[in-house]
Amino acid sequence: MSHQSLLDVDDLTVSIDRATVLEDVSIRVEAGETVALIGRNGAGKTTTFRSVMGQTSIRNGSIRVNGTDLTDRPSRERIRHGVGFAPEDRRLFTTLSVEDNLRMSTWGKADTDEDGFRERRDRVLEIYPEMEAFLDRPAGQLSGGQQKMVTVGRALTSDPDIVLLDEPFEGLAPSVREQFRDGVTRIKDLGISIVVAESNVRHAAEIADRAYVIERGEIVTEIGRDEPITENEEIERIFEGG
Amino acid sequence: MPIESLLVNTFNGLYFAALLFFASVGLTLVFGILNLLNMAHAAFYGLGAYVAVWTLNNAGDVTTSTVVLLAMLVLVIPLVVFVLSAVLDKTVFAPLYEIEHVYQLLATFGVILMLDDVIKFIWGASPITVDGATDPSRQLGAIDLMGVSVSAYRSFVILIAVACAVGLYLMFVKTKLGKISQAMSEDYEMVQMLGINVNRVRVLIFSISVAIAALGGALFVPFATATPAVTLEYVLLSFAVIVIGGLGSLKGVVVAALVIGMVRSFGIAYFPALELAIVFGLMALVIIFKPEGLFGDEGVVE
Repeated sequence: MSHQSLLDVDDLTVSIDRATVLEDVSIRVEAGETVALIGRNGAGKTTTFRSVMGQTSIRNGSIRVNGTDLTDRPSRERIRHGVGFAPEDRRLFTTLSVEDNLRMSTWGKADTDEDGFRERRDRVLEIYPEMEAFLDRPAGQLSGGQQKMVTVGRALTSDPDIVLLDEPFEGLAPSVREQFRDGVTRIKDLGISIVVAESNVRHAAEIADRAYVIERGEIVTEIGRDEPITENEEIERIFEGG
Repeated sequence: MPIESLLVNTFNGLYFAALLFFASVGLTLVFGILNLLNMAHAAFYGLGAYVAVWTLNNAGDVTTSTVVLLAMLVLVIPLVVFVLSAVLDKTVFAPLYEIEHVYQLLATFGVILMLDDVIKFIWGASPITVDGATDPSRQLGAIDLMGVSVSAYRSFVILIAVACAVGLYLMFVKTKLGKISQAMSEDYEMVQMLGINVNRVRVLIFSISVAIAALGGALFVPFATATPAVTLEYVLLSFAVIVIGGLGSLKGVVVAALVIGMVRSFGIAYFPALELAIVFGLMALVIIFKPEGLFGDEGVVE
């Protein structure tokens, strides 16, 4: 194959405790795209992300980023190849300050010094200006919405080519959600690719260029750029009545 | 109670607390940050004691300078053990991080038995002591503390313990290594996903922890004898310290070491027969009323 995608998940099969949780999952993301991974809770969205981040045992298939095969490489190498991850349950380091939380991913990538970090931090602050006010506070003292911002910010300070956002809007009040969506739009404007895992079709439709629909660990359909996400048949079947 | 004996017992309590701190702090750090319950931890306290006796007794041919002897105890021995434990972490301990705590306890109990045999093989089973000429505690003599004569050497040991506790605290809140360690104690997997080589941090934290235990054993020995029983005694006491203080808490170790140190010092003075019973009775009370320990529900440096 001559064409090389930014992220290429190919025929991924993953088992946890002998149960197959992902089967033949294939996802491709090109540079600058925002792609949604839509499915109900437990469909396999988070497992897909965890697999891309190297935290599951992969039985079959491959994960390539910018052409590099990372399938059997340690988890920590993801960030160096340009993948940032903002988990659904935030997973901030609650005893550390917000700024140190952001710093952690630059330390991990080890490609920049303190000046470089400040530059990246300021770019995050342009996306979420309200973060400036609580940079010095321990992350554990923030509200849920603020913590979500820091989680995304932490993924961005590694200067990624692609970020995986797991349910970024979940649990947010409507006003905060709008703010947050604007933030995602600004990330897109920076040219960073996004994969967003969503159990809310409307939220996904608002930001994504195209989508994959996942059900019971399998991709059941792919929704192209020219097709409205909310009107897809599979989507209507899976999410009927809600 | 006469004021002199109050002062002397408090001083002895502080000295004993210092030794307990050295023996246990690494145990709680390795558990809190690396999730390893290393029963063999305080065995390195015993190893430090033996190495210190050997070092001091062989130093006499070269020097009897107090400064040099103290530097050997405080710097050289911990440094040597630091390097040794980095090797042990990569070989003996590496597979243990992934298994359940109960298996960690069994496996590291095996490490105690091996270390014990290594010590007996090299130095024999009989107690060994430091010769007078190169014993810094005898060289330093006594100093006057608020009208009471106390050992200058023990005062020095207490100061080193304070410096060590403050140094560790600053390391955790100020340095990159410390902040990453705090993060690892909270979410090991997330730290990996942020690109950090947790294995490298692990080796450092493990080796620092073990080196501090060896430092404690080395400092302990000018006043006492190195015996195989020392190892076992401190293995038990260090568990009492971390159970009372709360697993994984630096503050917990400091407070619990002080409490046990004082209880033991005053216990020896007034109820000598009950010395250990009091310490472990205290531990039992904590387990009954606050099973997570005094500070067990907090982070490493909260």
